[in-house]
Amino acid sequence: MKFTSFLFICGWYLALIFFGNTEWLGLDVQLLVATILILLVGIPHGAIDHIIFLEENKTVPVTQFYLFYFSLMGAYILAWLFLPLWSFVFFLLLSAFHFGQSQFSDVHGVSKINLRALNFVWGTSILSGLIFYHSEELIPIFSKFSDLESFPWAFSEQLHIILLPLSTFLAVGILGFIFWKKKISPSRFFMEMFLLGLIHLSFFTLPIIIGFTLYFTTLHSTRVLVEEFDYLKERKKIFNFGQFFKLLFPYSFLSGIGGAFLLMASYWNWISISNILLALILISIVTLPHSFVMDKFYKKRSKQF
Amino acid sequence: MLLLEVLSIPKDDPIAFTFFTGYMAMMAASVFFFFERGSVDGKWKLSLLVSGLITGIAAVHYFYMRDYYMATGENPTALRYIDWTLTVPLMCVEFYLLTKAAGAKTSLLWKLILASVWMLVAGYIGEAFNPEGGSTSHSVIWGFISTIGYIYVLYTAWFGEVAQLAKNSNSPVIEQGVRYLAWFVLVGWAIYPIGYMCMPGGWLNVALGWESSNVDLFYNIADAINKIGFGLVVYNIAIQETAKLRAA
Repeated sequence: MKFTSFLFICGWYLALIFFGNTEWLGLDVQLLVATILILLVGIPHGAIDHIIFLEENKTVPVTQFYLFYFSLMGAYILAWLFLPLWSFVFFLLLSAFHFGQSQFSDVHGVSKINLRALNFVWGTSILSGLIFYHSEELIPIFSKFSDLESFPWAFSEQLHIILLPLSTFLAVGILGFIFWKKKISPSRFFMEMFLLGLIHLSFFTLPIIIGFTLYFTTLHSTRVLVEEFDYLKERKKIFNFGQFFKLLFPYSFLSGIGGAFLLMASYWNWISISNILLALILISIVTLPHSFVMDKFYKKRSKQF
Repeated sequence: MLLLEVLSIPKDDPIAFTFFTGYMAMMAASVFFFFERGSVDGKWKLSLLVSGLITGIAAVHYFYMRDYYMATGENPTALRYIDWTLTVPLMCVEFYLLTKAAGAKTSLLWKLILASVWMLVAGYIGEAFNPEGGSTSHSVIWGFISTIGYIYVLYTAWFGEVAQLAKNSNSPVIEQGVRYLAWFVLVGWAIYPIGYMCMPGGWLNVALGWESSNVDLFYNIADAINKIGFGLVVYNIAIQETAKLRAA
């Protein structure tokens, strides 16, 4: 068992104690806990994209990297302004792939198409599960705001009652095929089955904000942070956690401050869109270039095996 | 008279059913472990004795608990925690005994015993002293305190001293056996909080309407799996290591 899986399981036990009974700790506390965890672990995992990318692509000038990174963000903002629903659907699909990719980043020797399909259906399974188990909470929240009124379509039970079993079946099927081809060990196969079941169970048993935050911070962000730490240590760019923290800090801090400022601006009506839409745009525009960088990173790493 | 009471077990009462089968299974397991002590090498006899004691102590408690349940229809909470206070630290002793040859110190033994007692005492306060009608604050606070002890044992078995010692033992059988026991702690012991959360004010009670009457069913199933299963893993290690020694 990976240490991140252990963190996830312990986190689930503790979260069940505190947040299982939703009448005891309300939405305010859930949001506070989620914000703290995302600021401490979630944001930092994407804060050294520039270092990772430039280390792997030494011929690319720094300015070209930043230009590309910010262009992607800008293009996505434009897409959000003109096609909000499709931008949201794209964000869900991109997140599904990105989550799957980090989960199986250490699986090597599998054909590209199988691995990509596994990344996608695994991520779709967990995100679809999260939406399906909480669609009754999500639809009223999204229906409340005029700029989100078309979004509940993406949360409909009719959609996810098909998508959830289909993606889960495919994820288990591909994992089984990879195991049958002896590309993963029996213990790894068993652990993946166990973990997939546990993620679904945690999403089912916890409030949506806490369930997602727990998965995102432990199984995704911490896992990526550990990979980044190991990579930079291997490249002798850092030697200890203190140096790693110094690398993570500047952009994590800027992102936190920037995000808080924009959300406050929305709260004071300086920006005429709802807080939820703004949060979705902010998260998605940092996810897109980050996913791109990580995709390149994982591809280069897999070539070494 | 006793036979008449036995015959009066309602067919649709799974709790009574599991109290009886649990009692018999624990008793049978004890006999098995005590008799099998003779077929393993000297250094494994203590481990099998402890396995037999775990199921033996549980069998005696189950004998009283099934009567208590049949007479009152209520949860024998105190008896259960008396049982666990004795048997759970003994399960931790198994970890120590298995890794002793690889250099486990008595400090490890005491740390594990302390963590398991911590977990149980906090769980008992949370369950037995829950105010009338159920208080979520009470069960959450004591549930949290108890879980700290559980996480400590879990960490030690998966990543901490026990896991490291098993790795250093140079015995794939011990390493695999300790891994199996760690799975028991992770999955098997996790059944107990389900019972805890069925209490009035607990999550399963509030969210799904499960009641205290469901607690015993979960506890009985968990006890049978964990105590007998734990012992069987230890027995398997002892038999395999003994065979290896005799073949050498």
